[in-house]
Amino acid sequence: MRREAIQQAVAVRADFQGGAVTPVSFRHAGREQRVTRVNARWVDRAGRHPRFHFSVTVESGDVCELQLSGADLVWWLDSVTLEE
Amino acid sequence: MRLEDGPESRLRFEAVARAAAPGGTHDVSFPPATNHTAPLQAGSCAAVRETEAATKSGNGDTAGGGIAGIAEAAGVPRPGECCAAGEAVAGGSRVSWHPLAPPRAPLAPRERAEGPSLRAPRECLETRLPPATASLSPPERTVLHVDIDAFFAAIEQQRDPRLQGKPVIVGAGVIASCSYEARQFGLKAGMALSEARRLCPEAVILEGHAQVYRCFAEEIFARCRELAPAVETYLDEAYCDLTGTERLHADLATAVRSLKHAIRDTTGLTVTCGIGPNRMLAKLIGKTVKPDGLARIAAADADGFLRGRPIEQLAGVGHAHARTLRSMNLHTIGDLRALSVDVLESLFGVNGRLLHERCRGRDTAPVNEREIPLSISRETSFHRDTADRVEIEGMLEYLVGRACRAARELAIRARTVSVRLRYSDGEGAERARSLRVPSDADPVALALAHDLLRALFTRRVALHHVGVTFSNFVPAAGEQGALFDEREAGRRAALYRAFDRVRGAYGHGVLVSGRALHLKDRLAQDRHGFVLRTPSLTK
Repeated sequence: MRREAIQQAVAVRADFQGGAVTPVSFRHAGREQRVTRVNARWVDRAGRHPRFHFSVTVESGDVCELQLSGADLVWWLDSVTLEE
Repeated sequence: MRLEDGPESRLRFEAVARAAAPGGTHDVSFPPATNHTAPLQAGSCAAVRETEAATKSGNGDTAGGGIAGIAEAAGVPRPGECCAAGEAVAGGSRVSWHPLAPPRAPLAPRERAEGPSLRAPRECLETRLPPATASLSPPERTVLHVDIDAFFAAIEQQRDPRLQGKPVIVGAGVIASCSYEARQFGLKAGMALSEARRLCPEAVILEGHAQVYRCFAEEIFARCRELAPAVETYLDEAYCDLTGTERLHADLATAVRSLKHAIRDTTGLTVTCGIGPNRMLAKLIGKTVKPDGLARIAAADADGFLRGRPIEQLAGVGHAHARTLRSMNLHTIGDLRALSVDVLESLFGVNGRLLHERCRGRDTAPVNEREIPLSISRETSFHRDTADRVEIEGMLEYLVGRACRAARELAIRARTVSVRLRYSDGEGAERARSLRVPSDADPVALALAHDLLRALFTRRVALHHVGVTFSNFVPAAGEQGALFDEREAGRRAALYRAFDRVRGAYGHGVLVSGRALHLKDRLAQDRHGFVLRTPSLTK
């Protein structure tokens, strides 16, 4: 496994049904990445605003970590873990 | 504490836009479960048994010995005689009493005219007291122990499903946590990674993400707090005191099963739960059903449960104690009962008395929401071994700042500060010194830490690791106020409260002081602080 830190703001299409947010797809490096599975989600409540983290698997099979900042509602692509 | 004691005048603070990660190793160790009241408790139980025997005789003369005498002298009605709170049996008849509104006698003529007197007559107050037996009988305790299975490794497997079914190790240098697949190869926490690689070459080794683990733990502990009024939490386990919640949770096993399901639904993690009459038994019974199990033990079954278990499983028996006991041909917890309390005390000191109680299934340690830790450590390895004094002192200042903030958050002040070094050739050095007055102020602790560093760092060899440990805590509220520098101390406390508020909102890295500023160009930062080499993985 090789984890690459990305730390870039990305555009994310998300589902807000049922009071829970679920990323559906996001745009990175000019390509639309469709989320096939949300592996884990957790909330980091350190600091003034919570940050919502998601570990997702995309169509290519890579695992990406997305983050939704509770302060400004900006989505970030934190990292991509590639299989070696 | 005088301001001149510390380098506060030299402090420079810099606000940075982004806040930061848990810097350094976060190692808050707690005192072992104490059992100071055990002998007293045992005595009380004996008294209660005596009382119960007298009650069962049915003559209404409760309480044997001095207890009955005290109750009688104080005018406390014997059970069955009158009406305090609860229910008493005397001569086969049951008498009910109400805890809050005892029956009032008819108002006297003067009271009818002036209204009831605010000052209750002595007899009236005395009759409201519960019977002596009620106050003596200790409540049956119910403690739930929740242990997160293979915590760090399970989270890594959650985050990346490709790791599921594979042996996963989390740790740097030594194993902090490993998956159950890895345990089949004989791996366990604390083992050196080199040994782990030899035993299981195909294991996936990850350095770990302390902040992520903390988020998951907080979620699980929040679920526990929905179930229990008092929850004592550690890194990957929690004790929940369910005493007195029997009417709230009609069936405790069902309630705990619901808790397990809720945790699994929200985090994807499994927990093992043990229910027992005290902390020790709850934890021990849970260990028998790992992973993802639920087990319960009653106080009456404790004797049989403990008797044949290996001596190492008893809380308070580590490697050294176990070696000593096995050399005496004591292999099981039941064997330990052959030793008197005096022998155990002479062998193991204060711990011997605890072992004497624990091997009999007795543990009166309460479940505390928060207790004073034995020590608070903040330490890290350098990304590259260094002999640069500026970098070393900067790192020490940063670590001291983090430790002081942790102490302030717990409302405690440290009396003893120790600094620990490890050189690149593996040699270590540690020295501690005590403050005249316990403190939680950065400049005070830092001045002492710098003195210790100067005394310790004497070899011309690069450093690999530096750490600071605070110990000998006193509650912050319990400090004797100073006569002359009270105003300064108050201003300083207000200053650090303000710092903590800012750091709490934006992360510790938002305010960096003094020599720690030199780390800015050398270390990466995230929203919690500087990204140190060794994350918080110690239990």
